[in-house]
Amino acid sequence: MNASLRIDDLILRWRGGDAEARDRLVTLLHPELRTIASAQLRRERNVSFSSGDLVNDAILRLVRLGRIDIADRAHIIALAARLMRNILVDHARSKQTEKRAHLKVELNPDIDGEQRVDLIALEIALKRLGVIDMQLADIIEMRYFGGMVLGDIAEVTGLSEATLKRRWRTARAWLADALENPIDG
Amino acid sequence: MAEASDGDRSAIERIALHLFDDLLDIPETARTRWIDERTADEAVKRRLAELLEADRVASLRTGGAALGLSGPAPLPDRIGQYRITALIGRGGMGAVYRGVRDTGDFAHEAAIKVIKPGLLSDVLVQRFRAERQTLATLQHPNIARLLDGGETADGAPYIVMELIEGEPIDRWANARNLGEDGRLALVETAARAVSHAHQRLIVHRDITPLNVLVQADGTVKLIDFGIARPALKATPDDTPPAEGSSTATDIASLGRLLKRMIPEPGPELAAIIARSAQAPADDATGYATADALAADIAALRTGQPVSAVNGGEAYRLRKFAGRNKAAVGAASLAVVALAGGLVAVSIANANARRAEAEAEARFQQTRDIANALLFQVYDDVSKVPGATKARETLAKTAITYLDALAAMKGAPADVRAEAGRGFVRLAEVTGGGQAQSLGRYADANALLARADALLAPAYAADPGNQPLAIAYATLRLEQAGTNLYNNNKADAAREQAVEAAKAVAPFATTSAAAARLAAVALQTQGDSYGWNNDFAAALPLHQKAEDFLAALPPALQNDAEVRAARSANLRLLAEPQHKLKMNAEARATLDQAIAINRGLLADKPDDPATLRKLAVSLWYASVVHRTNGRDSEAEAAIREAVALADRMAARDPDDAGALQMQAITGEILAQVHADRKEAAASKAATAKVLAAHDRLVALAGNAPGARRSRTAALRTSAGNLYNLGDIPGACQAWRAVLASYTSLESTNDLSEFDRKNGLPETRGLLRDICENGKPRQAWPKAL
Repeated sequence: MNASLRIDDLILRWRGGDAEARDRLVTLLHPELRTIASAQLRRERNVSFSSGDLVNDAILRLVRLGRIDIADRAHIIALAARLMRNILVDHARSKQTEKRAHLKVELNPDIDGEQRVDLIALEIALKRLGVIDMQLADIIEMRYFGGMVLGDIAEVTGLSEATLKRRWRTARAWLADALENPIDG
Repeated sequence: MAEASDGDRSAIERIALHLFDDLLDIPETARTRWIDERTADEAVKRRLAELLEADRVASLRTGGAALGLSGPAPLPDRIGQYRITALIGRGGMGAVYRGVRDTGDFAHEAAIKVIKPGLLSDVLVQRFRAERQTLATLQHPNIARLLDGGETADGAPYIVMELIEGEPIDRWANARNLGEDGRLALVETAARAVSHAHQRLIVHRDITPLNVLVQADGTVKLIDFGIARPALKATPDDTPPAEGSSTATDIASLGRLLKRMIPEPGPELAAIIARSAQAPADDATGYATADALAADIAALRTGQPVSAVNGGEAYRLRKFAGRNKAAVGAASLAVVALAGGLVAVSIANANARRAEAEAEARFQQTRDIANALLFQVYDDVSKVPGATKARETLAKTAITYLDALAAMKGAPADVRAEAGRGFVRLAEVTGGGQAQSLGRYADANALLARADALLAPAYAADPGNQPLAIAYATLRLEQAGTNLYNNNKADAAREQAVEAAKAVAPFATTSAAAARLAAVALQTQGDSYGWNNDFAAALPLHQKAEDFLAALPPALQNDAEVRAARSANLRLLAEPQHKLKMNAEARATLDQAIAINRGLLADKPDDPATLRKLAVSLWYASVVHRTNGRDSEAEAAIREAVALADRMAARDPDDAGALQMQAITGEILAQVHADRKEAAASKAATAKVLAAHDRLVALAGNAPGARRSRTAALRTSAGNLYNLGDIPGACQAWRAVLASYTSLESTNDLSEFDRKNGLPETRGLLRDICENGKPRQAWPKAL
């Protein structure tokens, strides 16, 4: 009772423009996202899976709980993509200590076919890129990892679609190169 | 060979990535040259080649068609009002045409520059649109007039300029074997023209020989004012400009132009060039204005002493505002670009007084605008539904101002405190670190860190200063909130709240703002426990906050902000009371919160935020009453909450927030009626809940989220019907729930959670109860 009560209350406050409520919501939703991720990971074992589907599932859950206004959809997806990435990487790291099993995710298949990428390698690459150009790292996270369409990313980043397209092509090339030629570190 | 350091590598990567953004728009055959023109750095070139290869491979995978590389386009017939007669030139940015406008008996020629769609950064297109008016008023004999501008049918931005038949300044001089004095005269003229523009708050952003033309008669003409693209250039001559542009950028460019015109300068000219490169106002050594640079060039030509050589001392004595003119000017420009007409007019009307007086006025204006943007305008805009974009624009604009304020070396303490306060506010309005609405601008932690750097030393130096103490406490509480709710660091949050409490303690019983902060500080300490379900530890702190507020002098107690803080704390006090089974206390506390909210609403009838606050407190009270079996109290509270929700919805039938409130309060009302076996009333309440959901689904364009909310409400209603003993009604509702799940599933919109919980539960209930799967005595007693 308490959890759902608190979530409803927070949603009301968030809808009323209370940004702190949204942050609390994130904290509350984090365990649920973790549950969703764990369920999926258990099912998939060490086989690859699609991060986009995972985020999508998470969103549906968030939307159901949150009765989220359509205007906030893009931001929520971005939020979920970020949280999900953190959760998955934590998970992959803990798995990695057990054995040399690498978790692979299928990045947005609409973009690059059914390419599968090692989660840790992706994380290292994104961390590197984040230092160089945070915006590019964010775009990759949303587009590849979150499976977001350009229009939604434009809404989150505030970039025009034209600018975003150019930035995204740069991001894509950088990531392809980084995954092909990883720097150990 | 030594390995490049991480820092070097990052710098190379950054340059390469910025170039790469543009490089893909360059036709393949022209790329090598394009790169050579922009960088001599082999490491950067190597990275660009690697990235191009990666892009090629990635494109092959998806088919390169989507990437459509640009080729030469045929001459357009018309652009805007102009008939195109010839191509003047074509470059990386686009093409420049010669065009004629025939209007009746008079025709005039103009140069029309068409920028490739998507090439001009978005910010620049916006800025260009906003500045067009200002640019059109820029009249100077050495500046090409901007006549018109717009966008072609393909969305390519274009500008119409006075047609200048001239040559780039360096070529013109070289072709005529011009001597040093002649060359200096040309640059001096250009610098005076730039200064004229700067006084009107327009910067060029890209002064290069290509943009400084000389006509056959020797007249200097600057073209492309205010529209040039601030591309990141990596040639050894051109230091990359900082984010944004300022008058300082132009002064530095003029210095480079001097160097280009006179490659082997004497010691005095070398000093002038060196000083112009120092222009960013972080030191007392640069030129404050383009006019000052022009004056030094003039002095050199006439044998007067040059300030760049011995004038450092004098310069250091200049007033604070004068030193910061460039920074302030840059900030003012951002408003012209982003905040639009009204502000632009007010700035344009600013009198061009003596440089320092003007800078002081601008400084004041910067402060005022930053404050207005962050506080009044932002709050006003926030009341308008759907104004997210506008809020982002305001916040970004405000950052520009705050940067300018914070960058002012030697600024008085109150100015720095003010900038710090601005950063805290910005962190508040942009939300926590995870809120991405403003992209990297929105990193609340970074904003708070900047505020900390400004406010912590200021407060430490002057703890008795009330506005400073209040700003400092606000910062600490905002940090505490971030730590508690975002970073899950309850201990750190508590420490920060304690610091905040200490800072405002001396003023807490005399100032309403300080009193409010003192209460919030206690409340935050309490919530640092409550957040982790340590209700026993949370309780005394919320109680302490309440006791403190209750003991305040009446004048402070009656302050609206203090009352709002009090009702918020009371709600948080009620929660541990409820959890610790202090039923009577929880009830009294909630009644008090409700009473305060009623009072606030009476003062501001129909204020949406207060309406919502009251409705939420009533709703929570009802939930608590219901849990404790106080059905009639639960009903009274939820009835009033429903009435408030109805009132909100009546004001604006499309306000999703109001519909949401109707749905959530109505759901509790339907449950309360079901508890009391009032079947008709419960059904009526449910009908209203579902009607609200129908509106929400329609407003959301049939989005899965809204449909799923409706399904959840339907599921609750089925449970109510079952509890009321209306088995056929419950079965009908469950079938509707199942149909909704199926419909969501058919579009892949059913969530994993519902697939595992709601769906099997609904199927099971339908099978067991509605399809005689189990005998009646095996049915659940209540749902």
